[in-house]
Amino acid sequence: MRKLSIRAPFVISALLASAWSPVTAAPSGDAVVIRAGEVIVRPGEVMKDVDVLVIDGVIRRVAAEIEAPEGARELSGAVVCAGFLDPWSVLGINATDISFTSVTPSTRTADAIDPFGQEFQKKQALEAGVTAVRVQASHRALVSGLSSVMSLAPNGDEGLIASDETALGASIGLTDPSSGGSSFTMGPDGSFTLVESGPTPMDPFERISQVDKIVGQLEAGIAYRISQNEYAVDLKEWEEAIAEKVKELEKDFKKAKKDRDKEIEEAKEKGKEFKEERYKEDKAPKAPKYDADKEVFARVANGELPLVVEVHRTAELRNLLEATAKFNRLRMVIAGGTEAAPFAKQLAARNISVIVNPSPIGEDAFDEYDGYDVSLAAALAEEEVTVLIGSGGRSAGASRDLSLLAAMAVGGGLEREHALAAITSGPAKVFGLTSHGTVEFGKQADLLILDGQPLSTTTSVQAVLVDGRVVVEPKE
Amino acid sequence: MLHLALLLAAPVASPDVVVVRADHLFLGHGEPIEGGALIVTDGKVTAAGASVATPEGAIEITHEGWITPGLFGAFTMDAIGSERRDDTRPLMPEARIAHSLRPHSAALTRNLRAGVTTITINPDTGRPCTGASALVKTSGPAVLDPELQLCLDMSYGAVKTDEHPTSLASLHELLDGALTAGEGSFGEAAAGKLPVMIRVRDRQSVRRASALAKDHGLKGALFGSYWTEDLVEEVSASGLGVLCDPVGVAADDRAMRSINALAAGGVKIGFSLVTPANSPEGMRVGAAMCVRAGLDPNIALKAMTGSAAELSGAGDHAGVLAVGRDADFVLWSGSPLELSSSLDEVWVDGQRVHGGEDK
Repeated sequence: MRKLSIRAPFVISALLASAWSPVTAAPSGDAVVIRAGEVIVRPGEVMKDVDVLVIDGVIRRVAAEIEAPEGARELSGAVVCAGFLDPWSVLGINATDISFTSVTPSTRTADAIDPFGQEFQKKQALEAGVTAVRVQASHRALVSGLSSVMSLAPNGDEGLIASDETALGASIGLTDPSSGGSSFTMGPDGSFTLVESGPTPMDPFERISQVDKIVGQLEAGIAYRISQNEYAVDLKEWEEAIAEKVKELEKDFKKAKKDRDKEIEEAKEKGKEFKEERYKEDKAPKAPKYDADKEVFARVANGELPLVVEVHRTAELRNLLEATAKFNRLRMVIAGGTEAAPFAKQLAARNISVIVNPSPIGEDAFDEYDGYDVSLAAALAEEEVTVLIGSGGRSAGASRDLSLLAAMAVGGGLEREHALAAITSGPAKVFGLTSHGTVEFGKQADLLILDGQPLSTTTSVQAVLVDGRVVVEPKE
Repeated sequence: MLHLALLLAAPVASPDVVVVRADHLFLGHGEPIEGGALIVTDGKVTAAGASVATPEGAIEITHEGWITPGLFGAFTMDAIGSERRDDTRPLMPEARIAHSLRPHSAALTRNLRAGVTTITINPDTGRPCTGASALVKTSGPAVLDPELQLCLDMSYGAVKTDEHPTSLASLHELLDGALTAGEGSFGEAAAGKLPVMIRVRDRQSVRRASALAKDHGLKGALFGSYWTEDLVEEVSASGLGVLCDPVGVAADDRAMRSINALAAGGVKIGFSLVTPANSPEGMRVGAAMCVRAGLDPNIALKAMTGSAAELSGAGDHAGVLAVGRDADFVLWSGSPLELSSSLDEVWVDGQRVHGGEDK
């Protein structure tokens, strides 16, 4: 498993000592200096007329008038901010894997990512400033398996997957698009009419039983972890006991060997079978059977991995919140949360973030989205819930429009800084991408150069850097 | 001080003369006016422009943000329940969807809250001629015109396997024959008195519809922009404008490219709403996406207001703020093309119907 970490600090003296020839610096862009009218260090913290120095993919300095190292590439622009991070995307996986439901908790979306697939959609998203996405396959499965964070930089064979086990996905109460169908109904005159009905919403009791299933799996995960821990303790005790016994036996080893040889000899003479002496220490503790799925839920219940649950309606939200309250290490994230606003206080108190998809919804949409209001993000943020904005995990093309979605949330009352955080530093924090999301020392240089404010319709992305490489070139 | 006193004394609900000033005033045509004002007298616009003096005794409202006409909702199937189309005959030129209007439908309120003050209600597509659309105000609702446009469909959607017409060619011939015979609503359409709206979906139907319009001198619009990217010249020669397919989040690039190509080629464009399948809020999203892909913002603003009304045959009733017109307008916190702008107030017939203090 490869996990992303902050690189070792670059030693400046080594930089000065090494011969900086343009040949080594130019093509890979080892050093880049961006002269910016303003740098959005993090949402709400802006530095005017400063430069950003990037060396070897890492942001080294954000300060006024940085002298460019020899051979460094120089860029300029009105606004520099962190690359957008879509926390709820399906970019990079094909349509069958999006709707596939026969998965297990240990199924990894990373294995469904095609590095060469959907090239044009990845390019469009990157050109729109989205540098990384959290991808979740099989969104409609009760438990969708492990999601991954993928970088959208081209030729990203190395570092394509920034984090391959980012969170466990789950969903409750989603309408099956293949449900419904046609049936005949008899009219008062005895005539039959063919009635076509669209997909039918899931029955509330079934939805609540889904909550119970997830809770059951969390409990099984904890039990599994306990049995593993107990085994570890037993194993240690056993090893100690063995060591002690060995020591004890070694004391008069020669005499014991002699006795044993004699006994073997005697048994042979009498034509009897020789019985080795049994020690109670011979019996090793039995290891619990390895179960990859329980292991995943053990990690989730223990807070080592966030659990992202797509859930929309009041009934299942209330039940989910009640039933999971006892797992005090659980790091839960709600995706969607159409009717989550009344639960805002509880969500905030339990530090449960919500990924909102602010796309307007037509009346023909499935039951679970009915009642969506564009003010949801604002209503949650008002109560200090951490709000993230995602493209909804249905359509690969939607990640491209992430900044417009964030703008819609602003139109619904969310503060502008909050909306920007919801697609940069917020997702980085919630999903443990410690080197992403802000423009400051030591962070990975996933940067956007813009000609205006990030959430405006008329702003265009001038250039994009991922890991310090210029992956979208400035337009001449 | 006088204004303030009046504002306190007289409820805004029934003013005689109201002056609304804003940082940006867009009238539904032309370019936005910086620091413009609108005078509303008895529900009608009596003056609009850059230098408008406040008449004595008028209530003055100053808005930090934008004023636009109420948005125009072209092509909706709102407030008609399931009575969307009569399937029994291919040609139903005398059908009037206005008869299906359900005045208490929540869909009308939904439009109003999104700033859409006037809509067309349309029969569903899927048959060669499904009758006339109607013009409806979403606040009342009042039917302003029950015979707005003759709705035709020249796409594969109107072709059946077991019923005439069974091919795009026979569909074309059927409509061509009806327009040539010139009876009833077809006659009015051929004479240019009743505008048409022709549903197109693929390249073939765009070309056939453009040819039909040119042959018969039809007025009105094509409905469907997706496949027009490389057919701009033919569309332009048809004399019709284009009511564009809705553009939503995740829309294919071609959706925006085609709309922008039409606009660049001088074809008049309007956005369509296609509710209730879509949300009325979706129109601004589509406009913003086209602007981000290079559409002139002024054309985008017109495509949500004046141009959309004109292409829907409602140019005399809605879409622009001009002297004598109903004072239907929206106050926005910023440009409606910025999705971060919020809708502050909706006014219809000179009265605030949504937002403001009771928001």
